Amino acid sequence: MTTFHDPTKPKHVADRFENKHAAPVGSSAVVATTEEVRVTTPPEICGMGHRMKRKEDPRFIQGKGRYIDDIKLPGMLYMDIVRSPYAHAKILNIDTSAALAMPGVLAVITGKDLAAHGLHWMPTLMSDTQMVLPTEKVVYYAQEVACVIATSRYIAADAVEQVVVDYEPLDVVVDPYKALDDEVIIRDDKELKTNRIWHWEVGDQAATDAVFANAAHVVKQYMHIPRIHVASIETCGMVANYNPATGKMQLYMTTQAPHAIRTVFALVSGLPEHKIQVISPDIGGGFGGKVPVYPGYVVCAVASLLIGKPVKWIEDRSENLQADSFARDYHLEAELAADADGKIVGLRVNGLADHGCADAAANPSKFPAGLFSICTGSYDLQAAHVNFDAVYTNKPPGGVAYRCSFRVTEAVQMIERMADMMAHDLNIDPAEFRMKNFIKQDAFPYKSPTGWEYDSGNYHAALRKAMDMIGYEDLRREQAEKRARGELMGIGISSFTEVVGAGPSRDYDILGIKMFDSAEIRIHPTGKAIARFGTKSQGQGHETTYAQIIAEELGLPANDIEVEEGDTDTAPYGLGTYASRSTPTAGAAAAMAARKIKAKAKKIAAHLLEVNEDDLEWDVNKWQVKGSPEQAKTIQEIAFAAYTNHPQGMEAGLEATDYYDPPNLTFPFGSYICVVDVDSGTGEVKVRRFVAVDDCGNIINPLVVEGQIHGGLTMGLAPALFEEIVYDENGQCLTGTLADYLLPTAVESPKWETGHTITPSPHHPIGAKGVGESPTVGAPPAIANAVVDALWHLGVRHIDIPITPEKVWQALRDAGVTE
Amino acid sequence: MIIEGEYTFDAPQDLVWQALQDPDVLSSAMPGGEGFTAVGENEYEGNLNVKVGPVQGKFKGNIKLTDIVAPESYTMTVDGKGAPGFVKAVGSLKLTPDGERTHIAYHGDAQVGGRIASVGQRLLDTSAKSIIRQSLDGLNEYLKVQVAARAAATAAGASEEEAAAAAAQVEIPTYTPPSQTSVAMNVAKDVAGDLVPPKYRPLVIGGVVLLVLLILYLIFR
Repeated sequence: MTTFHDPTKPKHVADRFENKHAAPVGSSAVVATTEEVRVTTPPEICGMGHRMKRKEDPRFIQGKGRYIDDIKLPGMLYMDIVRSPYAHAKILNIDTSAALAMPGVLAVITGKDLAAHGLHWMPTLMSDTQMVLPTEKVVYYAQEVACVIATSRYIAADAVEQVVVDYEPLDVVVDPYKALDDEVIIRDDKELKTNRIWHWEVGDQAATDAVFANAAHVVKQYMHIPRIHVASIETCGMVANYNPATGKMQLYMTTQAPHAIRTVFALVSGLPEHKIQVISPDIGGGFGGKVPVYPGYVVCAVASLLIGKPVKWIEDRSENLQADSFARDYHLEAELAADADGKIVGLRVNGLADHGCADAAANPSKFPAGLFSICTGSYDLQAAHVNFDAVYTNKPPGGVAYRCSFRVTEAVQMIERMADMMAHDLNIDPAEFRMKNFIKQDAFPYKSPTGWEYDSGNYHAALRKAMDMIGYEDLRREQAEKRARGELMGIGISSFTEVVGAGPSRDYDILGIKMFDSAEIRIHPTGKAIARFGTKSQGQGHETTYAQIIAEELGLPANDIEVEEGDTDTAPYGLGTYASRSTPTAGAAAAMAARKIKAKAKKIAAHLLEVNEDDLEWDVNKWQVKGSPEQAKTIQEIAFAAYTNHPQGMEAGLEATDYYDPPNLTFPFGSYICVVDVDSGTGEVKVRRFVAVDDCGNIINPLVVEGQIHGGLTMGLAPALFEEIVYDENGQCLTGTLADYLLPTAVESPKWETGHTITPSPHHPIGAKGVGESPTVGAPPAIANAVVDALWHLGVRHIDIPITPEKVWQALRDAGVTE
Repeated sequence: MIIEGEYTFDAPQDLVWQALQDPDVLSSAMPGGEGFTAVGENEYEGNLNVKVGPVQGKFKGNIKLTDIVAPESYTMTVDGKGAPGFVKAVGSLKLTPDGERTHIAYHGDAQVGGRIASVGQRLLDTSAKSIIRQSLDGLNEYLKVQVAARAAATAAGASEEEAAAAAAQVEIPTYTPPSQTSVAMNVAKDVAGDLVPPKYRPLVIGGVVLLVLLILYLIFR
């Protein structure tokens, strides 16, 4: 428990948040960019680069997936949750008698019940604390107040209505800038009576100020990156199954990080870790929202422990939208400076993070604002300084890295908006402006002013390709013609740099656990294999892509490799799947473990062929004698021999485990171009075309990559035009249903046009970088830039996302457009 | 949520004032209201069954009247809570005579919280307006009966006091409050009306009729 400390204490601010993440790394060679996907294996092996159909899909499209709610155990009980109607209120009394009198109700668990076991508070993944169930007061709307355990889901729901809670409403703080005043203290449980959580700075302030003092042009803009929700199709849930006879606790749970969760549960509950088995079955979307531990999980597990029977808890949609951890909610004041030639020289950002009632982000612990310091983006500038504060407000805790590598979305939205604003101000075409300011290909590995070492990149190639695909110059001509006719059309560009694959153990940990990841491969005697990982797919296609990595390395057909994740009793320890880290970490571990197997296979092959190891060379799926390729042993033959005819003195079997500690992060990038038409009468924005050129290094499976990009672009369209969690002045959530919290459907989504360039990561074993989050990160500013581009000539400089028809309509009216 | 509006009752000011202070009258005129009882001077308690969109449930409420200037104005404080959430409201009511009729203007600020606000958000405003309108209509129906009774008594030559007593004899049952279903239907009608601007209503209704005909045709052909 020593790793959990109070982040409001200033001494931690100094030693935890020191910016020392970017140390020098491996290769310094300039990496060449290609467009051809590398394929070295035949289709029957299906190694890297093959458009293999996903192995997991047959079960999903037949409705044979097994999600939490599919798990039904004999004698299972059901839990439902009483939630607070107030955002801030003292709890005077909880009367459970009417609920307990209902037939079928076994227990009503309150904060006091948990306090008796010391379980009413829990640590967040950011070393803050969060209530499991309150004993004194509630601090956000829809906070868990009590849990009902009953013999059926229906009885539990009815009993929730019978629990009578007396509240005394307190003053509510919704605005994070008001929270800074400390007039109302939200977390009065803390030693320091303040709403401030942490302060963080990165970059060189003096150098940045000097650059700004000499700058020819400065643009300045406040922007809010709104609070949004991952809104995955499957809500959160758990089946806790404590067996009093064996003392074993099985937790079927919607989690992206089963191993870390097991450790946290062991530390918090005091149960021995070997008696806790976390099983993450099929997951219907995670996107960062299933990394944290929610109170419902804890109470469900406690209920099973106390009653000795399995207990199921499944959130409904409104609970999911209103009480789960949010994402984003950054208020940014950004300034960008350029010299007289239109070359960007400096960036200054003042940020305020609205964390709700607890800092429950899932960032690596030394990075309170996540990897926001990637905010200099794809541009080569002299100096940058970022200054951040975080505050508590009466809202649910967060913020999770919603399909982005810890706050990169916020950073990219800011820098790409600012770059566009500068280009427009200087009257330079935004594409030309970017080309002029990009980090040049020969500058990689590039050391950024905020301390990163970008491993590789070729930003000019990606933007050029996107411009060619969309016909950029023709579109600008069309725009000029339309503008002359009074029609509103905009073209928006976003040339983003992502930073993914956390991360190197010297700097990256969550609650002290280093952010390595793992793979374990076992080859069976008949040449088939099982591979297990510390990550957990929630739709990313791991069962296919991991198999393809192993197929590439060992020549075993990808179809002969069973990929298993999510059961902590069988899988090797790992930190899980989020922040596009699976391929950079566990994918690398798969390649490294396969190479260990390959090395042992070489020894066995030498024994079988009665030659010296040095005389052997690898060819797709076999070790063969150099100069005499007909003398060869396939991996299948070697596997059989590993169990039937292995050399004396060698261990039998053919298996290996690898815990991969990446030397650096990977830096995927891309250029997106979006064309919008704006209806001046209604303010409606229509995305007419969207071209996405991504560079994620070597591609494991182009089909999976395209699928990831299609999904990610749609999830980028959502916050750009539709999504926002809204609270009224009393902290009441106004977006509690999918009728109010708008998600794009196929109707709103344009036809996504995708392309790629390939600039392999120089330090990753297979040159891959991770791609799942690039489109979510890159799409919103492309769309926002397109809308502003359509309205710039009318005097509109900026519109905060989500760019709703109402906001555009208002901007148009403010600009004097009346129809 | 700001609630404001005006209404004209077909009754003189004294009758309106009386009715607006009578818990029995109010609880029967208010859709979903039941069992309002006085618990102190100008303080009442009762239940209100509310249905807003998909959320329904019973609010237990306390109503307090203050700043009473008879028969002209008062301030009403409502504090209600129940399984679907809570409501806290402060509002003022002002009566002005308009010949034999009475004009009232009301203005209030209501804070609505809980499930009813988060799930029913989009319907809340219209639903509240609809419930208020139906309450006032209901009250007006009751008042018309009262006026008729008073007129009948006056015509029979009775004194003012006797007329008032006769009017008081007209028990509330003569005015039948609307059923829960009809209230819900009216709310739904108002919500739908709010969604479609008047000039498009014929189009929408026409479209719906055509659609129904098409479906019927497809089923029975």
